[in-house]
Amino acid sequence: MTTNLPIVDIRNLVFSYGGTEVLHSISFSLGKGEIIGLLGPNGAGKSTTIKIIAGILSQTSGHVSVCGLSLPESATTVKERIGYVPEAAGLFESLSGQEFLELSGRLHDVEEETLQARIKGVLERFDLTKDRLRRLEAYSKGMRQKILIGAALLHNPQLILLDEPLTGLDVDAQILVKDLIAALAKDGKTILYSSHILEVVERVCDRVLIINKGDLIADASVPELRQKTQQGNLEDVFRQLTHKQGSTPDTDMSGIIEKLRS
Amino acid sequence: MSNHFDRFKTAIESRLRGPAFSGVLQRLNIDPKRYWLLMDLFHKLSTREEMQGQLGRQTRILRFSAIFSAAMSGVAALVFILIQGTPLALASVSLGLTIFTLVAVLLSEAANSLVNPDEALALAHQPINGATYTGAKLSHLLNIVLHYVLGWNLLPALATPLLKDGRWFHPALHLLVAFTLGLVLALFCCSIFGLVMRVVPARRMKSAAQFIQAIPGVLIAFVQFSPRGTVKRLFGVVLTVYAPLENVPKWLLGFVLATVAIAITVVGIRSLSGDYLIRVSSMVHGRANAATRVRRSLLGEIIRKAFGGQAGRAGFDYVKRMMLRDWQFRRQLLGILPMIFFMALGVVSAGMASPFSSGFTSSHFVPHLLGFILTIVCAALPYGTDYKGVWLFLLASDRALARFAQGIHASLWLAFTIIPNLLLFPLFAWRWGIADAATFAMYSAAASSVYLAVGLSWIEGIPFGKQLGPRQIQGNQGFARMIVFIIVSLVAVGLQYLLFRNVLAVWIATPLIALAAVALTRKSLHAFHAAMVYQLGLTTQTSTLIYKEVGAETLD
Repeated sequence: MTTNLPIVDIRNLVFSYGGTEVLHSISFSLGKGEIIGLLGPNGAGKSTTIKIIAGILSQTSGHVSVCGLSLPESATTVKERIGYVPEAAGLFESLSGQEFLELSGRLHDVEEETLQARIKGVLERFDLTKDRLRRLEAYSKGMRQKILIGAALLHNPQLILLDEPLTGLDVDAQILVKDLIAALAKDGKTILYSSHILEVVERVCDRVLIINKGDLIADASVPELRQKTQQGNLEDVFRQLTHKQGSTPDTDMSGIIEKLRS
Repeated sequence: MSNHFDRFKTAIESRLRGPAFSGVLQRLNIDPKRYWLLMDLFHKLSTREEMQGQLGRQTRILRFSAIFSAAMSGVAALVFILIQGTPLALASVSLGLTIFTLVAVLLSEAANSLVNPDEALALAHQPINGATYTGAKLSHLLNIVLHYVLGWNLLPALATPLLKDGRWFHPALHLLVAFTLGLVLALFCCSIFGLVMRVVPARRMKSAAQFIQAIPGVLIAFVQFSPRGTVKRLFGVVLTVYAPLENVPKWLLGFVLATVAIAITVVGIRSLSGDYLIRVSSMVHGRANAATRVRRSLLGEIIRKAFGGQAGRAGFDYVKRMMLRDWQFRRQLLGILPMIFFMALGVVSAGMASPFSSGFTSSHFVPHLLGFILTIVCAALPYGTDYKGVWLFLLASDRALARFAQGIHASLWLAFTIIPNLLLFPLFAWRWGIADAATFAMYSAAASSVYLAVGLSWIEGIPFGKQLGPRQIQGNQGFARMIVFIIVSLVAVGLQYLLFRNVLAVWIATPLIALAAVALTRKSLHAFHAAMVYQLGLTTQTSTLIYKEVGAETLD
């Protein structure tokens, strides 16, 4: 499935914000048809990395290229080739689901006939056909998330960036999205999947990148990571890697319960 | 002076936070502890200039308004001293101005504060009862009353002893009446929304509130711009209807009216405070169940081909839909729409003689009235309720944004230049003949296109992609632009009058103006595109929405 041509190539990426270095010289690459999990604790720099790849933020230093195009110089062309599902994104709520998808597809210059066919397909697959003319303000969290995922796919991107895509989705929809991710990868799309739901990452992703406090601390497949860390599952691997050597995560909740009682 | 005022306010506040006032609050079913927590929260929001630009939250703007009204009322007081008018006459002027300002401002502020309460949505799950929340909200709105009442009445009140028949106690009496009046008006304005909430379904409250807000504007515009004699005739009808009441003693009539007003206010406030926080969610989400229609129009295809492809069509549809649906945009235009409507009515009812006739006619104003509407719309366009959706445009390429701008231009051009002129054409043709009407319509379309080109460069970013903040409300820049607009358009009307004395001159001038419009539009589209890119750049660098992870750590 994986080829040698990297779709995303990142070398010594540094990003600073307001004098604070957020990403410290990280390097990795993503191949065609790969599904890569991007993990890390809150504030580790996952979303920042995704936004740099999406051409939304520009790096302080280092080399970033997507589909062979350097960023930020070729941001315009790169944006035409990526699909991005942001975490907790706002929507123009007075537009209907159909109108939002049309807006997104047209901004990516998808031909009208193709666009309408794709919208129809997305709405049918996500079971939103009967709600397509309702305004987004009437949509549930899960329905909005489906619209966001649909909008990211309409222009048939080569690289799909998913930031917590399962947020708000019910079990059926989660299964649907997981199957969709697998199908997209089979179709040659590269998927960078950021999530805190480690079970899904473990099951879906070919490879996992773990970022902690701006450093890339792991880049390997799940079995390799398990073997290296001598842990049974990804959750334990994650815990071991994202905590200082020798210290164990505090799982004792009696302290906080006592404080809440007082 | 500001420090003295703050110290005075702090002293009063510390008294109010004491046990005596807490007892009063508790009797009104208001939880004192949570009441003061909310008051502090609202104060913090106003100090940080967050949320929407409500006067009740913007101390700086309120003080500016108070100083402005104080200056105006000071001049009035001086004139009254010079002409030795009576205290009653001066009081009538200053109280009249107070009522006029407060009704206009309070209706709008109460509507935005009560019907579009973002912070109430955030607090809806907290253990705060409706009475406590409404009490805090009303107290905060009283800030407006305090500033406007003092602004319009302090100097006139102090001047009363210097007037004819002025007595030493008149200042205190004047201020007491002014504050009472302000308080009653504030409660009355809020109570209207309380009553409307009982009658109108929560999801339609936003539309209802906009209608209520528009009432003062409609009345003012009606009085100013309606055809001559209409107001007089209407008064005549009202007087005829109420003629039988002439025999009723005035004190009885006053008593009945006061009782009805108090009853309405009490019922309204009670309705408002009952289950306000439970209704908030439905109100904020407005017409959530309203369905849209799918239109596969030929127009869309034409726009795609003529104005920048699919991205152009995106801009065309986006602006067209959002202009009709966005609450914040509609709210911005509310104050001006009745005026425009009645100005148009005034132009039409003034005879609409042919502009090619030798005299000056009202039809000369048509292209400039369209220009006026366009500039207002362009100035309001960047601000919207769902501004957080702007991230979508971060994913659009630069090329797409440039075409998107073309689509927006097409939408505005069609809606405010082509369609109005086409609609007016049959009327013109009927009055002046087809040849004159066609010449004028083409001239008018060309001239209003110039205004659109200028207006485009005023759109400071992605339409509906910014939060309407206090700086925009303050609108100093907008005011200056409006003054310049009025001067330029009056000069243009004058030149146009001279031009229309010769048909040949109009035939030559029209294509030249159209060419100027095309050149200006090209330039403005670049500026508009640059403004969108700039805004998106700012959004990625500063917004905690887009830049959540680091923003949360470093911006706080």
